[in-house]
Amino acid sequence: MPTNIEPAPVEAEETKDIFVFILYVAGITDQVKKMVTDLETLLENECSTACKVEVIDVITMPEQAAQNNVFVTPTLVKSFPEPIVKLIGDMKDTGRIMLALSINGEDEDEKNLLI
Amino acid sequence: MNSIAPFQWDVISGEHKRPAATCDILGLEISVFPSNEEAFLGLVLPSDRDRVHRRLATTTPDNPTYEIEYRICLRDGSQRSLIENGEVFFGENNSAEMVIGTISARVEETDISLDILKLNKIVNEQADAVVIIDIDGIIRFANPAAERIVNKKSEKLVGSQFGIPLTHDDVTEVQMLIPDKGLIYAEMHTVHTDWDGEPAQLVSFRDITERKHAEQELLESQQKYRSICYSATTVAIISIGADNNLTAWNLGAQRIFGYKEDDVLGQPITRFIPMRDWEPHEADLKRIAETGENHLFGKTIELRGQHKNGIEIPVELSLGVWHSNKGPQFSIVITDTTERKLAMAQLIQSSKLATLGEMATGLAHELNQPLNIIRMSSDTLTEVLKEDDIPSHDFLNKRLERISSQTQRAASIIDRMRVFGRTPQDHAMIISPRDAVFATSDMMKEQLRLCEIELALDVPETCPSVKGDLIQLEQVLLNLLTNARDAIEERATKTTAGENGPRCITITLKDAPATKTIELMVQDTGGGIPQNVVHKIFDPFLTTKEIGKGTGLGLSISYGIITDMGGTITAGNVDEGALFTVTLPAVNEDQQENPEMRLQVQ
Repeated sequence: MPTNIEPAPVEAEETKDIFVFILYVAGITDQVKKMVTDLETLLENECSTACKVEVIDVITMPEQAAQNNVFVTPTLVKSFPEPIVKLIGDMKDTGRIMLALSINGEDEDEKNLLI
Repeated sequence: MNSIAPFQWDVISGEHKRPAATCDILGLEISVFPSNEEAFLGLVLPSDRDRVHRRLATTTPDNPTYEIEYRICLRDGSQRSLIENGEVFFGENNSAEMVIGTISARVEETDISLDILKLNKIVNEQADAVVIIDIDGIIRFANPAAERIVNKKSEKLVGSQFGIPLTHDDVTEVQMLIPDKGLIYAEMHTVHTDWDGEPAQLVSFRDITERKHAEQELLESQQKYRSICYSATTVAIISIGADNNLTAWNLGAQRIFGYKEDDVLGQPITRFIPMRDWEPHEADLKRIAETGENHLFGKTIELRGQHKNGIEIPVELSLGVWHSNKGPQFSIVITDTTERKLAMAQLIQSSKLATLGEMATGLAHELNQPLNIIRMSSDTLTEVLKEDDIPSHDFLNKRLERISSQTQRAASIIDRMRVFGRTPQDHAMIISPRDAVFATSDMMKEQLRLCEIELALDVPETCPSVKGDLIQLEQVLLNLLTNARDAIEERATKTTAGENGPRCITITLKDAPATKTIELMVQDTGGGIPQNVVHKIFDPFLTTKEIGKGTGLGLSISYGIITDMGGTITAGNVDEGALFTVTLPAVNEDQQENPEMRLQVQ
């Protein structure tokens, strides 16, 4: 994977008990490094399940972003398990991140909280 | 303008056919309609799409007609409501094979549509990219600017997963990778809105790349200059605001004044100036702040600073001013001149001692004279006392008085040398140039007489004072007189006897009230300065004298002393010799009244 921050593709056996996140960024800057650390800390503290954060630099891998309809960076995608959730912004509002990630059904009221 | 457009739909191949004659219905171009079912469904609003897709489900061979109302989304982002009426033709196994029908626009919505069209125009002409997303983060609308930014047509964008902005009625800075433009910086605004009666978010992106780059460059240049200024350790670079309080303090300032940056920012600058210098400094800054004019800009100003430990430091500073919306700001570059002052003082001192050394021969002569007289007198006395006749009281008295007076004379010669050899005061004093001329003349008179050189003085009765050290000014005159003497002596050795010109040195002191200066001129008849060195006569180690005779430092040090006193010294040739002119600023009456200056004089 295209990152020096978080390597190791997720192995098939592990995937059952793991959340996989992909963070799309533009360039690995100090700001981005801090964002990744903060995000990992947040997920570690708030998420009972193990979490993997992959980082994709859209500058070096633009086709990855295009394939997944990532138009804006930073974008955080919860790619596993379903449903796929895509969050856009500077990842500073941790409350909204957790709220968005907690939604896993079709509960319209919950979704409305985000709008 | 038609209100109905016919169509034919081959259900098996998915092909849509419309007569070429049909151009539009109520302003809607039929040519925008794709010619196959799948693409046609793409035109239909996503929320209606599923219903339209299943529009044949209710039809049977017994009931082959249907009517359905749906909305389509046009490329310009506008929506139109359409009514489709169709009749289905079934094949042998009761499966739909062909549909023939019409599409019409909903007439009653036309007026509203015109308003919507106006709004669409506004949104479409927006330079900002605008997308509307539903609660699932699906794009429901994208304007042309958004199409351009992601390089995708609206049809492709609508329905695709965009994501949920983490901001809410707020602004966030994001980046976007644009296919042929590279990375741009954008401000993402999100606003709550409705779309098809459902809550949605309007997300707009404003390209701020240029602003961002400008900001970045500004930041970098700020950091660069701050780093350059801050890390300079040999000079203090500080700045103060109009209120006299410090706004910047670098490592050099820390070294010179002993305070760290954190301890001094916001403090008044007077903390680093000895108390007795506060008043003139504050008056200066006040005047600059009020009038904007400043005689100090571009000049090096000498003053005293105060170290954290209370010790006064001689400093040199230059002042710059810049204007911010908080008023004038001053940038000040300060150099600690302690070491330079010390080195200069040492150089002056050693040169003085060298001058004394050079004068030793003359001194020996000078001292020999009274000593000879003393010896002769005492010899006479001894001889007379050996005889039986008792010498007269008058005779003895005369001899003893002579011994006493000559001892006095020798003592005064030694005294003069001792005074000349002492280290000068640190601070400038008010001195009389007349005193300097007379003292130097006293010192050299005898030596010059021995060399058969005439010393003429042209000194006015009164003359303004100057600021400086008396001994140093004497040293300059002494250097000039010694040079003049040597030049005359050397000239004599080069000419045959009898052709010897006049042997004369003139010291002239003049008051020049027009320029508020005094002039001191030393002219000799030594043949003048060789043309090839006249322009560098004040350079150190330059000497026109024989090897072993001069240090080459005399004039260089004289130059330093006079410059320090705020004056100038120039060299030139006149008639039969060299002319050195010293110009010194005269001290005006007010300054003479200054009690502090008085104190220093005392």
